[in-house]
Amino acid sequence: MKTNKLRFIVFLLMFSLVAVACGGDTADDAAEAPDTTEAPKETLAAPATTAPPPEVIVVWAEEKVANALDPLVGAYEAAAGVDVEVVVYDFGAIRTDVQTAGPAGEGPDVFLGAHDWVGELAANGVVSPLDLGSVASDLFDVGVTAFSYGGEVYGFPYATEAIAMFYNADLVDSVPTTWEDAKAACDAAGTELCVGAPGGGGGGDAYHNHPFVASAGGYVFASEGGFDASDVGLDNAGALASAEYLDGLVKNGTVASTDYGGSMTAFQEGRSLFWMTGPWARGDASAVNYGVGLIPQFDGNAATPFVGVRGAMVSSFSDKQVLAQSFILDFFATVEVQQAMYESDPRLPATKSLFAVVEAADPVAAVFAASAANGIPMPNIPEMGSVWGPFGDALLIIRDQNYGTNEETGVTVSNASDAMKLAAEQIRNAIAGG
Amino acid sequence: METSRFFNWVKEYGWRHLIALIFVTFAVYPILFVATNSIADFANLTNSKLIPDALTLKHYKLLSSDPLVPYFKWLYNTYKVALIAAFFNVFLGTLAAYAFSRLQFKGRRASLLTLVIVQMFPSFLAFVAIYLLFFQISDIAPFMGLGTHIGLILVYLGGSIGFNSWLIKGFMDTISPSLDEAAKVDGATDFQIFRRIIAPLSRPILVVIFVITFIGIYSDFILAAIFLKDKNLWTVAVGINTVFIDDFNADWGVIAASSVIAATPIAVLFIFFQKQITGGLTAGSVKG
Amino acid sequence: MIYLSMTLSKIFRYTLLAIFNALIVYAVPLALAFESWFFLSLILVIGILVNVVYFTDRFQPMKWILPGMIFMLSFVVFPAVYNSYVSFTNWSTGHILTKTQAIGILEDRVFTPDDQKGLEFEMYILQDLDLNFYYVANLDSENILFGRAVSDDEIFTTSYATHEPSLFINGEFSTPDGYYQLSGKEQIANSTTLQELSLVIDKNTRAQLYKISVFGASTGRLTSTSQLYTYDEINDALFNNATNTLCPVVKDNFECEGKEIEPGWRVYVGGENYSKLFSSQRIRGPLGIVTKWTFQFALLSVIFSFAVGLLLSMILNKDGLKFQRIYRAVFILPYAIPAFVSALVWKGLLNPDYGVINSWLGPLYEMLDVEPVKWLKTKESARSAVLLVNTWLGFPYMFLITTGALQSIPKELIEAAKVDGATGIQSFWRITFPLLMVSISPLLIGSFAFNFNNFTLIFLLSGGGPPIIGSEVSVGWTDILISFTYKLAISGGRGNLFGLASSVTIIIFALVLIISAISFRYTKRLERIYGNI
Repeated sequence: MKTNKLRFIVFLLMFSLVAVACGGDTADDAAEAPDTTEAPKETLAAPATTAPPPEVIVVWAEEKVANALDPLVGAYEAAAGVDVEVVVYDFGAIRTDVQTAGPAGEGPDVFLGAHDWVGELAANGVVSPLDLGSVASDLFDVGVTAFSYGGEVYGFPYATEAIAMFYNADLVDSVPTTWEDAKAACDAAGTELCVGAPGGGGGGDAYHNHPFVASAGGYVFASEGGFDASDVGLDNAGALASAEYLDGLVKNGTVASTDYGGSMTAFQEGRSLFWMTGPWARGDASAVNYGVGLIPQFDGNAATPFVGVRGAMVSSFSDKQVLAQSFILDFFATVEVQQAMYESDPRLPATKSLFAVVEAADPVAAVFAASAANGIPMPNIPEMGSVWGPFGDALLIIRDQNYGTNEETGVTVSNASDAMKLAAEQIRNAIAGG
Repeated sequence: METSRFFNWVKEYGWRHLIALIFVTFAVYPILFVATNSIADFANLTNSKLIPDALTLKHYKLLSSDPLVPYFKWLYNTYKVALIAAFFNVFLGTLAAYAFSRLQFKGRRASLLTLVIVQMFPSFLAFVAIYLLFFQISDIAPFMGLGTHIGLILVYLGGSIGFNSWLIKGFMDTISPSLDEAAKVDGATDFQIFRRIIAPLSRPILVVIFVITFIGIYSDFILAAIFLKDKNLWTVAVGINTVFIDDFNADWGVIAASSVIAATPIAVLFIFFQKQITGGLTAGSVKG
Repeated sequence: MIYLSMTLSKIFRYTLLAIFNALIVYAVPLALAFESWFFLSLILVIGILVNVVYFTDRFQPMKWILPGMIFMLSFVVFPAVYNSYVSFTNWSTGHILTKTQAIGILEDRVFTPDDQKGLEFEMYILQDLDLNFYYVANLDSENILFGRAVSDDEIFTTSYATHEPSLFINGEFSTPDGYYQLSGKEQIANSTTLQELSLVIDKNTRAQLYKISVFGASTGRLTSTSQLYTYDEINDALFNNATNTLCPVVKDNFECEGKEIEPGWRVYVGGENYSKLFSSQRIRGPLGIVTKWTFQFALLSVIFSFAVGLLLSMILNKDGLKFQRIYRAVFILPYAIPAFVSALVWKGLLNPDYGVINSWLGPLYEMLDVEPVKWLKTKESARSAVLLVNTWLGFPYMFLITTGALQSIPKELIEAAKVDGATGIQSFWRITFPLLMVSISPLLIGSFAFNFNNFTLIFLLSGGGPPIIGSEVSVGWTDILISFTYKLAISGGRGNLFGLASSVTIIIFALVLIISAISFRYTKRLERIYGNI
């Protein structure tokens, strides 16, 4: 009896709680009504009062870049009456998260990333075409090309980078123009290693080794006005000849078998005369008195490094398309902001006007720029994803001289040409079969 | 007499010390390496020496004073998340283990096995699912959505039953049922038996499970990186990986210093509580 | 007394249940409003389970298991189900959106007739007393166009903009009476509205806001009055307004004149991913090699780390041994270092040219007159290195549990055996080891499963290892199934292939499941034979 009464009371309690929750729900729902920006009630003189809540522009950027950008946005926030929220993101994560978060409605409005993402992002429909308009005249072509895909431009380029050749200024005056002269310089200086180029020592690195095969006729994808995935040029005559030349350079000791870390250490400790890498390594290179020169030529052709371009892009799932675009073109593209960006993350500016300033002040930057001028942007099409593996593997074989036959697959790679042909074949198969 | 005593010692203890010392070197060398590199100038992964040429405290300085690197916040976050998650993990696992050990029902072993095997699903691409799920949770209950510690802890609790319960159950099985029976005679409910008898007696295994779970969570990077975007909420693993490990190179000195700082409390605990940590896997090891 | 406490606990239980249900009832409409289907289905399932289990007095065991199970359902089962779902789709680069989203993105695209491309002009935004917006487009001195800014559905019904030179007095813009000019800041505040409005210039042309400037005048662009694409629901095709062609659906994209239009969308493709795995020559070959190595790797890792851990715990399992505590602590120490740091350290130690391992082995190499081992660069050295490091990472855990397990074996058993004349080795194999296996074998199985999917180590230490020359996909000698999956996922032909990668994950799980099921049946036998001590 007592139990039943007790149970009854308990049930009552339970249901009343549920009822309260329901009731509270509807009240909540009313308050949940979407924030419509109310048009200000106005006189002719000025809009009144109830200012709508400020728009928030969400910007995703990696650490260094975000730290550079954050202090600058205050000016825009004040002038524009918006909140700019700069979110620090792991660089690689920006690329993947923008594609998951965007369609789910949680993505950024603007994000800063690398140009070789463009193909994938555009194919997935997560990045909006960005109309550069009059700003384009102040941008180097390479930057704009890098962000073009399918006839549209998808981002505002702000920084470029390409590798060049560091040299130990205590031991040599400059970088010779031919590889033979480089070897001679090394012999004269008596260093243990000659050219420390990443991409050996077990760590395949197609990015760094691109000049070795692409400077005299070879290429990854043909690039007439956009990259053509059906035309892989890693096994054409120029590429094969260059690969054999690289093989020769490895064999005679000009190019050492080191990975990135190994080449860095060797240079820092004075054990290698040259170090073939990019502007981000200036800090590390400062362990010795260093200079920078152009990479030696191949067969009279200037070395063609891969150029990487960073830029600002607009997410297509942002509901503030014009605002995001305006943020980039009206604020981010200004020289003041670009200059501040450059000072904290020194890559090469993609805007001509800023570049002139930088070049005058920093001759080393000028050399990197000259090297980049001879380079081509990394292909930004999605098919590039299938290139890094085979390309890097092939170069690794040549750099580490890992020729031989693989018992398991029965395939023989006996020289550099074989390696390149194999890579090209793998890439074509991947693109066709994927 | 002396020599034979010596030989006796060698036979009984000496050889043990020898082998132990060899493995001590094996175990400790990389750790020493990390420690010395944390105070080395120009620390580099590939060619670091055990005893560096130039010593510096700059890596530690960076971690403690660089305003862009809130390292101690990360440390706090890591310990906070790992401790809470490990605690609740053990709690939930123990509850389930009690059921599998003490309560009779059909398909006990099969269902426990199912839980264990389900847990083995490669979580690799499951992260996308969790990411999407938590987007939705963020809309409705933002305090436990993406970018919160609570949300992260909840995900870690996904592994609470399954393997842990199996181990705890195994231990509980070795606690004599006569204790339960005696308590039942006194009219105790299941929960009381659990609270007063089984759980306390299971302490050795619970400590072990706690340690294992804690270390697992403290080392986790992938899940934490997906969840935590705000720099101030990062764990050490996320912070180090994002800030100091680059496309091409890693700031080795700082990574070493951060590992030393993060691992020291755990190492100290290991040293002082090793007895409790290496407690038995059966109740038979509990004396009295 | 007990009666009262029973009722108290019932009250407690019902109160909690009430609160829980209240929360569920609160959350469901919200989930519906936000269209959070994942979350909705999850809380419905959990809600039903909790109520069924806790309402009555039945289901006693479930009352204990359910709390943990809720989390397992949410964060292990649900992702697994989702993963399975993905494996039956074509999720890959170019196909990550839903069809609706893709259509939305495509319909947002505008186009500009060639003769008007590149034209950029100043735009002023005005507002009248009724809060309607008006645009003034300053194309050139002959075309200072003024008109109401209209939304897309009014474009073809509104009147064209008119030329109003009076708006510019001495080259300066002056606001006409009855209107208020919006400053840059105000334009921004209204940007979401303004971006949908256009100024209609003629039948085919309109001006839209292009760049809102806070530092000067805003600018506009000319575009066509129609969007680039319109979706034709009846024919399920996209109509291209620029070329006036129809682009029908071909599986998962629209195709205009044979060319695929990006973005495409996700579709259900059934078992296509699975059949691709088994039929594609590219993948089948390496798949065999990788599978074999994955088994070897997992098995050997467990065996080695267990052997070392057991050896050490046995060595230290001697009363009276000095420094026991210190040894024990030292042996668990590697466990305290985060795994990714350890992997990096070992990578450095193993560096063939400068690493410590080769420096130490230097004299040995000289003595044997061999080349220093090129760690991580050849198949054998990479595989050995990976196993070595995994042993280092794994033996502390094994040491920990074997020490515990050893202490649970009653000494009396060993003593009895000694009395019976058994040697140390015999008593180990006949008594200690089997008893050990009773409690340890599940852990070994678990360790096997863990190492089967040990992506972190492989990725950080060897990156998959030296490349397998001649394989059709990029794969290395130390790649295990899961790292191979990752490489497939990110480097598939035209971008990422998540659908394919998901199907490999399911297959991996199936493998692990079968092996574990078999192993657990074996341990059941062990338990029966050796029972509880």
